Amino acid sequence: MEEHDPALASRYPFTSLGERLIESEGLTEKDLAYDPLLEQSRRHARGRLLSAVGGGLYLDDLYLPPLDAVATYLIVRLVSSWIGDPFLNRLVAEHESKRFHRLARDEPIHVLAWLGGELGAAIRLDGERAWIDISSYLRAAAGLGGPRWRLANRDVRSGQVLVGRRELARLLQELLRTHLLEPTPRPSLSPPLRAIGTEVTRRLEERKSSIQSSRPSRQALPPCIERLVEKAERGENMSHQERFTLAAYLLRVGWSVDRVVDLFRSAPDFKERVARYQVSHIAKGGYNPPNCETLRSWGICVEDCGVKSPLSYGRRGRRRR
Amino acid sequence: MNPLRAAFREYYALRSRSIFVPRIDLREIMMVTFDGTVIRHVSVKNLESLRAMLAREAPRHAYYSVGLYERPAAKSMAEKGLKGAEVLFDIDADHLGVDECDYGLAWRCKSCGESGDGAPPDACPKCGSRDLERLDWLSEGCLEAAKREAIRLLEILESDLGVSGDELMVYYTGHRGYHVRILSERFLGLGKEERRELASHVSGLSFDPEEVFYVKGSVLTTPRVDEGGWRGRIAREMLQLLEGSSGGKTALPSSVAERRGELVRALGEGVPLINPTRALVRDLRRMAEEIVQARRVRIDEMVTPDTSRLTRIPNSLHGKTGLRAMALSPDELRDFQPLGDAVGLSDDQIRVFTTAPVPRFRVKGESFGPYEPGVGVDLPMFAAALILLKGRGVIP
Repeated sequence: MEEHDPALASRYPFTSLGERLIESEGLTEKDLAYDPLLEQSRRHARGRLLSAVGGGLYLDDLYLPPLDAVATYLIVRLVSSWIGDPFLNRLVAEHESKRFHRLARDEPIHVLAWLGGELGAAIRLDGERAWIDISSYLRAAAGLGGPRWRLANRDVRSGQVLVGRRELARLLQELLRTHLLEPTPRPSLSPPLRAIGTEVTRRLEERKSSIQSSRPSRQALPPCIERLVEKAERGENMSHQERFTLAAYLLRVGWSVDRVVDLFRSAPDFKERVARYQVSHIAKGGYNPPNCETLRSWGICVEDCGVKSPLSYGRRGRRRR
Repeated sequence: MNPLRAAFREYYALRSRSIFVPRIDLREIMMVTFDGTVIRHVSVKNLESLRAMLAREAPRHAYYSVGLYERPAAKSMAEKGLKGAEVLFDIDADHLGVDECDYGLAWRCKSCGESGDGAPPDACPKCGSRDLERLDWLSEGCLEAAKREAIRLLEILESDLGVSGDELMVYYTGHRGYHVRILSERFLGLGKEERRELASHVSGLSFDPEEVFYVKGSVLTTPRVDEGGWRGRIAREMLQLLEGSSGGKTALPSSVAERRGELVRALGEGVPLINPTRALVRDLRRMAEEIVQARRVRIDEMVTPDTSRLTRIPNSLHGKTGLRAMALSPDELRDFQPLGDAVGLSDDQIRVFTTAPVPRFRVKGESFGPYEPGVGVDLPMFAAALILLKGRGVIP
């Protein structure tokens, strides 16, 4: 079985293969911090964490031997848990899951099925496609934008959803991302790993201070937009529709492109160039935010506030004051 | 004691065995008493305690949480510690826009007590006050409409989500709607967004015809009859339309009729259709949209994502009707008649003095009314309760 191919532990250290390796080698925190043979793992872990904070994608360590790969991953996890900053956790989850996708998207479907099982999904192969259990599908697809991921447009039968190979890889990326966001207890670290943590924290603070607070006054915001602003500020993953709605709304109520781009700065996958292009495009096109019915269908509406468009909520609010 | 509350108490004393809440020790319980006091954040150890509590308090309304909590009696959601929550779908006839739900509509002026039939006017014709109360009623047509939605919901839950039988709990709310809960373990851990997605699925709101009739280059891919979900439902219904219309007289758009043979193969066997005309794609997508509109389940989409909701305790009495919030099996649902089967109160006679017009109505196979405002009538408790709880009468 390919499942026992040691190269898989090297690519996917979060799996039970990785865990077994740690157990059989008796790897401890002290080894991770001091073992001279794991020096390159410490170096790569530092690189991965800094890449996560900087919004890059670290791929220098793709072909490490299994033990070194598992050690690198463990150090990344330990250091980010030690820092314990939710914003960092989101950046790391985003980075690690992207990195995972880069590897997984070329895997044959049976390896993806195995990875799915490791991430808690029940997967049944159907030729070059696969059936994934609906709860896992929903957990994964909730973070994905675009009508093709919506359950109503899919072949869904008896609690299973049919997906193609590439789609499965994308869904697994999301499952890994949410898995990495689950809270972990704060570990105690030896000085060499703490040093990495201190450096990462410093970079993190730099990134945070570059995010200007550009909050609109709360009262004027309809509840759906309020929620989107909060999501953006917390650096949570947002679907394409959520980003569009938020940007179109804010531009319409008079925000500048710069100010809107700044609001998205906390997004874990933030890219200045891409964000600026998208926001400017919406500004130039003079798009209105979707009306409430569309927002309801996109799952963005959070309560019935008695208007037909989020813009009229703003107008009523402004008139009242 | 208020005779109505006494009637509720009698019900809870005699029928307490029918009160059933799974995993009761993990639930938050809430009650509203007849004097309007809200008792929140209650937890009970077992069913016996719950039954005893209902018999003792005889509340006007009694609810339990969809959430399962570590500490159900804690005051805030954060302290309660959510372990999981059942997925809830709420069907309320008020949101269905059916005319039957306006049956028996009346109003009453809160200032002078004047009342009349129909929707409330802008101002009271007698005293000019604008403080008017809208009084609704129950009608069989309205309740039937809600039941049809509930039946369609169960079909979708079974075919698409694979939940049926004892993984589900279905009940009539005791008023104008139905609640369906998915109890199954595998759905308990879903978050808000995932629940929102389920709501948009059953209500067809996230359906996108461009995804389902998908054009790439000169190839049109259609859904297939053996697929699940909306794709399959659309394909099967369209195939039926195509095959049914082969006799010649047809309601099909000409763009569709012209390519009938190819479409039958596409929908039936998944053979992609080459070089579709723009009109064909447009017409197919419009037909798909119409099929979804006709078969979508009109739930309240705001309810499903909310894991902190409470709904009526199964087989407790609804404080606006006196009817039972009756737990039903999917089979029972089909033949269920709320105004007969959900009657829980006794037929002891009681005198009621009407304060607003009461339309003609049937409960438990017996006809009552119509009654003018300001008359005294002797009625069995189950019928009197409806008038009293709907705010159209008082006990003299």
